[in-house]
Amino acid sequence: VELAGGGDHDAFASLVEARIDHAVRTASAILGNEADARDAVQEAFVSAWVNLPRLRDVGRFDAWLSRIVVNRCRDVLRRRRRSRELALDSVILSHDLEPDSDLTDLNAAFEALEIDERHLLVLHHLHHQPVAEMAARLGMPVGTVKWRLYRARRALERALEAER
Amino acid sequence: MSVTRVHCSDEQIEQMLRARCAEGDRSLLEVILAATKDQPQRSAGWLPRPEDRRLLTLLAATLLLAALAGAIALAGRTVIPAPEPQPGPEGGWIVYVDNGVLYLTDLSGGEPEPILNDGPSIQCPAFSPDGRLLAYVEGEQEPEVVVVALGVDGVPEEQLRIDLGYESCPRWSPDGRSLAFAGGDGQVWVASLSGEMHKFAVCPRGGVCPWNPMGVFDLAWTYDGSGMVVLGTTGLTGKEGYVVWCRLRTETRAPCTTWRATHRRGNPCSSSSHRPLPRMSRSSASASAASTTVRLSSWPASFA
Repeated sequence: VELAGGGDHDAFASLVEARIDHAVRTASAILGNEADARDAVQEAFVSAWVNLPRLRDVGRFDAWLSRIVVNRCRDVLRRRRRSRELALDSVILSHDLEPDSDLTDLNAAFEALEIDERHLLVLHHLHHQPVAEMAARLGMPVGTVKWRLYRARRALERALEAER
Repeated sequence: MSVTRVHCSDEQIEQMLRARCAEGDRSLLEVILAATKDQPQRSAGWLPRPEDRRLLTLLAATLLLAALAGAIALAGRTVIPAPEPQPGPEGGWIVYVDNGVLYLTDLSGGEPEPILNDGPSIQCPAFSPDGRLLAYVEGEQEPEVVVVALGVDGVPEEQLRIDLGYESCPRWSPDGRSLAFAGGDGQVWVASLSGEMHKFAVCPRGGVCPWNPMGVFDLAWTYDGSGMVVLGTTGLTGKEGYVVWCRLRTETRAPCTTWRATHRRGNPCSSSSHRPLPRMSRSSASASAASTTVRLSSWPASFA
């Protein structure tokens, strides 16, 4: 990280290669759209390269990068809301799963959540990060992460109730 | 009208998220590397060298104490920082934690004995004022506040266990009969040794809480046990902090004085070893709810 911050592009390439898959999976799960996720991740890594010399604590690189990715996702959603590009159903559920109604409802409920709530659920349920690891990554006390995770899940269930 | 609460399982959430998921690929990596190849980086500005950081940390800690002292001294009080590791009040023992193991040593110079080393990791040991009891936090995933009595041979005997999680270290009341701590729900709780629990309302006059009561960093009792100082953060972003001073009442409308402050980065207390420690001086023994409000012009330096 220090080398990359000093302008070593090869070092930066190694950082990107090791993290790009995690970033794309996170962004696509948050946004539900592969093209948007790729845009967000690309913008996030470019921003990380430009601002890396200003990262004061290199040990916090992953937390810092994760924040940039989530912020770019937020920007994408804002743009999407402005341009009313809401036709996601054709893109989502295009993988191995049959589009059963429960999953479609749950997916629609997830779309109703705030970005930070989505991020917590993605870290915990998709990347299987334990709460302590999430706390270290997000720079929050363990208890706070637990509480926010609980609230995100309740928000998802409430949104699901509204869907039905 | 009946309302059915919907429950979704972990498996359902994971399945839904997997369905939304795409993988990174070589082409995206190449696009990013091409986009950054000739992109200039911003200059770092002034950054401390690693060897300067220890000095800056020390300076920041001093400024933190000075800021808290200043805030409270404005109300005619001073601050006494608590020593850690914790000495037993009888003067015979010191307890400390190393790598999650609780050690006990005596002041005659004997070898430190690990007294709790076969269970979950330990944090925040603190002797009760009379030295009979030791409180600490046990475990990381599902932390619990535990109180033990130490026999003459240092063998602990469990007296109380509270499974409300933890966000701040437990703090003994001056009379040694209660413990206060912030639970995993971000609420301040006061537990008596008989096992009775009270939620402590941290709200200013009028009962309207200025903060989202999540993210309590630390708390301290007044010396007469009539009140408490709580240091916490507000909102989802954790960008604003509060020092709140309240009389100890368990109703929902506790009269408090709030000092508001802003810090520029996220929660500064991801590591328990860097939790700030507000302390009340003995001269505040008669203090209950102060009506003085002091506005801090900036968050203490170590938070910035």
